[in-house]
Amino acid sequence: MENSDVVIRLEKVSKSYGDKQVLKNIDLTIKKGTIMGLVGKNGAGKTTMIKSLLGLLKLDSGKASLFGEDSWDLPGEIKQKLGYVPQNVNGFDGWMTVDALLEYTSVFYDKWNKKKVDQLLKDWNIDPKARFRSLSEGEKQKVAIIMAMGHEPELYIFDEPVASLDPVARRSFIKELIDLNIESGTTMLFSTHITSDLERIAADVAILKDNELKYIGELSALKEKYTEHMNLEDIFLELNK
Amino acid sequence: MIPKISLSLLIMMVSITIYKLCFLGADISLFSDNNLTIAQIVFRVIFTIFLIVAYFRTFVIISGPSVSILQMLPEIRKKVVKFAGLNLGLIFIWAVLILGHNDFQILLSFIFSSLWMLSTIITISSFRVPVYRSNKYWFLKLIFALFSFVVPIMYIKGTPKHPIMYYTILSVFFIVIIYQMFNFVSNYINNRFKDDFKKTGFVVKINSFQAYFDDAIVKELNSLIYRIKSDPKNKYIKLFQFSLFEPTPTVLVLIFYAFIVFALLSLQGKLGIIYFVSLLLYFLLISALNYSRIYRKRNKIEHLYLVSKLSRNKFELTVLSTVFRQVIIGFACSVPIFTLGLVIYSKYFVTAELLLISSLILSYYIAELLIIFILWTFMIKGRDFDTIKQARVMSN
Amino acid sequence: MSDNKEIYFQIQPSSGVPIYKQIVDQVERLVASGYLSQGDELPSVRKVAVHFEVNPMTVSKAYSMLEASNIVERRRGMGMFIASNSDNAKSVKQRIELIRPSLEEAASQAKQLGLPNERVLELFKKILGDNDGK
Repeated sequence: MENSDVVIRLEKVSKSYGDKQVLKNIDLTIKKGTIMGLVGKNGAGKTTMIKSLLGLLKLDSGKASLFGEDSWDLPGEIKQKLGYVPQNVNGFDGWMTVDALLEYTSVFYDKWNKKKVDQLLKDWNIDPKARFRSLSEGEKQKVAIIMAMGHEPELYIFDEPVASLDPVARRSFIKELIDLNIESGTTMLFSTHITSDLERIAADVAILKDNELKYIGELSALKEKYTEHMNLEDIFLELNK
Repeated sequence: MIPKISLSLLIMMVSITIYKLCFLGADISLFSDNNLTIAQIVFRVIFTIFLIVAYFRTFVIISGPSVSILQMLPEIRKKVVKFAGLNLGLIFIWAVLILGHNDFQILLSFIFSSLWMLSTIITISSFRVPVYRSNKYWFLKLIFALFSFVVPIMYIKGTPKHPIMYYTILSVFFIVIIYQMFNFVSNYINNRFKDDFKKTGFVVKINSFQAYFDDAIVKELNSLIYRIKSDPKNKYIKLFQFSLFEPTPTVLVLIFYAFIVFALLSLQGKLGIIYFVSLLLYFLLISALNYSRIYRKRNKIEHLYLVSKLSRNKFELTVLSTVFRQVIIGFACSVPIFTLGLVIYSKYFVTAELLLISSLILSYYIAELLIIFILWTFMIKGRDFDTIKQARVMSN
Repeated sequence: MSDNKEIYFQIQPSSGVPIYKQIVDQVERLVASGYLSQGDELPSVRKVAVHFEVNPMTVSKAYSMLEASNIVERRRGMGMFIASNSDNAKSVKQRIELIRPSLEEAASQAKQLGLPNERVLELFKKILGDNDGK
């Protein structure tokens, strides 16, 4: 009987590209309201894992499910509850203006919080009339984030969403997420290599190394495992020696 | 060990030169129609093939699939461009000598055909470069496509029916081609793959034209969204269409129409329509290439999958329907042109030949629909959107 | 009403010390010193999380631990309050043990730097003196 509290579940998930194995027997359970950080070296398989649980990649073995439904064949209603910000934001139509792009996205969803979207555009200083392709990388990322937030999803999955944002923008983004989590109990999975951001927002952390999840659990417990005071960055470097 | 292509190019070059010098003589052009012999026709074909392959090879060298660090330096890329330019220049001079410098019209036709060929090759070899796929270059692509219909006109002997129009078109075409080449070379040298809007002068004027067209498309998108909000039936197909296919503003389609009609009316004789139909098929081929590229837009398809409230199965079918719809609409828009062409040329052809041409064009479209379906079963149905593998492969 | 109270502890998310523990330690110290006394209300989880821009669950965890060790108590519908424990204010002897870890850390650093003890003590005195003004 599927626990209705479980939002993301990966069971013995494995994925290879040709003869290169990227994920090996990954087990992961994320409950509603959790903010989990996914940490790992570049190329360790973070994006693969994220795409696997979104049903964007076919698994070699194992099961992935979101809200109790098989990830590969998500019903439309479940997809409406998802907000995904990919690592590569250049897949969007460059010729569209920002507001056209957001309008276009809004038509796909049953609900859309236009007020919130406009407020975020204003707070983050994005000209709605600018063409998407003429924006800087950071601005594109901000727009991608807003696009994922407009329909007020229950689950956010971010793949390196702040890589191109300056520290001020990152703080603002983190703050926005924390507000969301407090207000609506939104679940979030966050892949980033900026450990300081994770230390703020994530209560739980999963470390991907050598194709496996070497640690899943509370960030505080992880820090307590180390007798010398090591923050997440130190721990990560230590584990990757 | 000389590579096979270079060797065959060399053989072709040598044999054409020998034929020209020993058999044809210095005065007579390879493309003159006086005392046409079979050998001359054969060598004409070899000559054409040689040029196409030589031009294409030059661009393969320039565009090079491997991206080594050295190739990233502007200085080195400049050298590569100079080398390619030298290559092309030598081929050009040789070709002019082969053609003979007596017949001005043949020379003019050759120069323009070569420029057109080079432009086509630039376009094809650049399609991997995102900036050339962007809408910014739509204006250029359109002009290029429009004026390609001029090329067969040039091969017709005698004075043109409307000389002012004719020479205006040629001049504009020439300017556009030259601009395209300079643009390509400068983008290549600077390894510029993203759009850079900090340009001045003439380029800004082009950009503002571009912006005008972009605004037109955005307006069309907004009206589409408005219509969808009032009537959500079939909304996904329409939305997908906008995203997967770079939309063309209606005003441009109408201009395109007008030019094709003009070209149809200017062409004379049976030879004219043979060139016209072969050019048509060439464009249809390009569009077939276009359609097959649609399925490769993995990032876009992935995004559309996630945001649409469709199960995977329905989504895959919607993608297929979208592409079908595009082909069918394209066909429907071309029907008036085809009909006009057939009506105009009915005086040169018997019914059987007209039927043959019509069935040729019709079967092309049916084949295209089939190809699209087959590609869909291989690339979309039940497949995952493997953008990571693409990225890994590209980085290797 | 409690929203007007300032937040009197610090959080360093990128420290090796887990956030919840930082909060717990600080609240313990404040209670030991008598700065916080019985009946004082802690700022809400939400307020702390928003103020420091940290995950509210970590703040919750800290408060739960404080509750478990009877330093604070939860009053239904009202929030977290310092518990009515008699001997909350610790003696100087007990309190001084609480800063032992920090002093040990500073001492070890001074040793690594090869500093004479008198200079270190001089500096510490000066700092304490500066702090008095705060």
